Amino acid sequence: MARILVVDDSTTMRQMVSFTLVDAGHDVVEAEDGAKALNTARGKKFDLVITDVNMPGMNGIDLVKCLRDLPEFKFTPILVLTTESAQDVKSRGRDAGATGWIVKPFSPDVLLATLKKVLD
Amino acid sequence: MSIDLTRFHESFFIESLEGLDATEAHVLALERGEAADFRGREAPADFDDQLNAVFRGFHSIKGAAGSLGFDAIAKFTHHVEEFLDHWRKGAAAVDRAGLDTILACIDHARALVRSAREGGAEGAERSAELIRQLAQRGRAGRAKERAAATPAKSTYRIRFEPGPESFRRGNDPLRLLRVLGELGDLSVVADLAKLPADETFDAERCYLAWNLELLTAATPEQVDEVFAWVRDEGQVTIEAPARPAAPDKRRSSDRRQLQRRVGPRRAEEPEIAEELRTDRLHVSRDKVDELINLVGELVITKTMMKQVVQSLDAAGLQRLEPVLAQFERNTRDLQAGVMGIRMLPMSHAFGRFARLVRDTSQRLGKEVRLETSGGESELDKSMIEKLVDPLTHLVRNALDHGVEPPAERRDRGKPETAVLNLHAQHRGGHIEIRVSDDGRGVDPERVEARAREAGLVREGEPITLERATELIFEPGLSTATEVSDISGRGVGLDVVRKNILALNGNLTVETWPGRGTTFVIRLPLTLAIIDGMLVTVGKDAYIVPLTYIVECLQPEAAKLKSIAGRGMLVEVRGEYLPLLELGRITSSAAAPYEQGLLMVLEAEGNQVVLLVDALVGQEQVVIKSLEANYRKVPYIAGATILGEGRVVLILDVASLVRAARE
Repeated sequence: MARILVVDDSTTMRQMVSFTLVDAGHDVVEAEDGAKALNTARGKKFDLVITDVNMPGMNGIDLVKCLRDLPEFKFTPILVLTTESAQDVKSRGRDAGATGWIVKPFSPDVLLATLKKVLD
Repeated sequence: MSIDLTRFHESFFIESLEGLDATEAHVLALERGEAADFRGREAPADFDDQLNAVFRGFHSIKGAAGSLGFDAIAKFTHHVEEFLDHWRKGAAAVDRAGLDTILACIDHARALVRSAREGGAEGAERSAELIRQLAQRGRAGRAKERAAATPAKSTYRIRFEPGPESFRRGNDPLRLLRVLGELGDLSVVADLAKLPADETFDAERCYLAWNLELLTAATPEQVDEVFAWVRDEGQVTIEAPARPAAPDKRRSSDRRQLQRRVGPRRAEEPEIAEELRTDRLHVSRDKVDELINLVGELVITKTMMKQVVQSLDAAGLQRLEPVLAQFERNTRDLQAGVMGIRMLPMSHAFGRFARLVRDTSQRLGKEVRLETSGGESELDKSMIEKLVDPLTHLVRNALDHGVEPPAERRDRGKPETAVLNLHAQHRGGHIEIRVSDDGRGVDPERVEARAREAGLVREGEPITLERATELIFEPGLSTATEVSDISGRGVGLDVVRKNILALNGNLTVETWPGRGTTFVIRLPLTLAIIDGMLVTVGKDAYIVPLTYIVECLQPEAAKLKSIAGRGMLVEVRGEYLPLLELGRITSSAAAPYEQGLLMVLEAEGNQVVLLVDALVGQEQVVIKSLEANYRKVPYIAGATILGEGRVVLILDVASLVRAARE
């Protein structure tokens, strides 16, 4: 199925997201911050990137910007994890080139439903 | 589909509690920054970083708690996060009262997490109270209520024009149409009007538009949601004639130019290996204990092999020796590696003291800055846990008795803010932990007065500084004139020392009157394996832990004295020490006194002489609990298995020494 990069500094969230994805048959690679994610992503092919925004070091928005500048991520869907209270995150994410967002908290079902918008 | 989320609970609890510890440290750092600000100095540059870290701490817990269904935790942390957001945005000033509230929120969040871990749901009242406090301090957090819409099928007419750059942001309009189709019956008419027929066609741009009709029971919000990501750069109009259209101010499409001004920051990226998994390991204690047990067996096997080799002929010996050397190295590495699983950095324990020092010094009206160093030195997890109580006591003791009030410090020409230092350092197979203050030091005169009152010293005995530092470990000696609620809880330094000794360690003190005091704790790195001396008495063998042994002597009849009511004493370098005969304690047929051997043992600052038949040699032994497998036996600390398979008991030297002194 799809190959997905999951970026979140919270182990619990990362494990939850990746477990849900793996359970649905996807291939998941985890990274705990933007810089590590970028190192992993460079030169590789992913079908989807899901990243938290608020992370130490390189945050999710900067990660989106950097990924979009890589030729291999030109068309790759990138979703940012955000919270309802953070309206501006959505627009900053969009400006950076993110495909869309997932509002936290979310259930595994919502996550899988959202994937339909970005995966074939 | 549904997924059992309970498997993430333990990880959530552990991570949240750790996160709260870290958040607390950031709050305390903020407070120091804020204090600096108060005094007219500039706030440190990392003030914003600290504030963001505090925000992130609550934010992470909120996100995970909400996703895992811990609604009470999610709701509470949401309010804290909102309050912190005012600070972040500069809408409210960071002040001490607010920081106090945040610390109270951290305490309460811990309580909520612990309660959830035990399956409870306590703390709702406290949550409400703290949320009220937060609302008072910041602005009221407005709860967003959403009215639930009633489901009834209706037809939506939708015009969807994706932005030309849609593909370049990963949005494929066809996928969105498919998702829309899942909501009900969808009819799709493509509008090709903008598709260029000539060579200006760019395959990476989106030229298509669609006119859609959707018959569905979905709410306007649900339909709207499908286009949430693309609305602002393209054009989406949704008509739902049966009901007023979804109220959405955002739809007035302010078409933003996509700007990607920030290029890749390759220069700043750290070199990080492909290894992306978390570097933290939460291993169940049982598994680790099992591993340690296995290693214990391996250590025994090693000793066995050694004995086999000793009885081989010369040729065989030559072949076996290098093998054995390697085997020994392997086991040593394995042992170290496995022990490492249980090792935690001392910063784990030090971290807890920032809050204690802050709260306690505030209560005492003293100004104290906590400094820690060597926090990266590692120690067995169970040792760290057992160390927290004694360390807490020493820290409280230093704050209460050591550090002077600011006015007194000023009079003595010292800075008003005292420094309490926690330092850890590895030394050989041991770790040394130093608790130092720059306070008044041990005052020999005060100690002497108290000691005489308590009848701890003989009339006319001179009280040197050295003697005074020994006396402070005596039960019943407290130099504080009245029992305070800080350190005087009926638990003295004597108990602290006893607890440290129970860990095979020792506690000493160095003091400089008027300049400060340092307590030094020395501990073996782990409890499971110790160095011991194998001794025999009659047909039996025992292990004496090496840390207690001062020296070994040949017995001389002339130095043996019998004193009425005090049993036998042995003169060692001019001092008379009580004699313990191991054969008598264990009811073994021991060799006569002059054919035996004397061991001078020291525990809790007291020395005794132990008579044994002979020394066999030094052994590294794995401690097995006797209590867990049999029952508690007086003067025995545990058992071990020797190379030849024999079970040998390990002497509890501390209790032997205590018995001999009584």
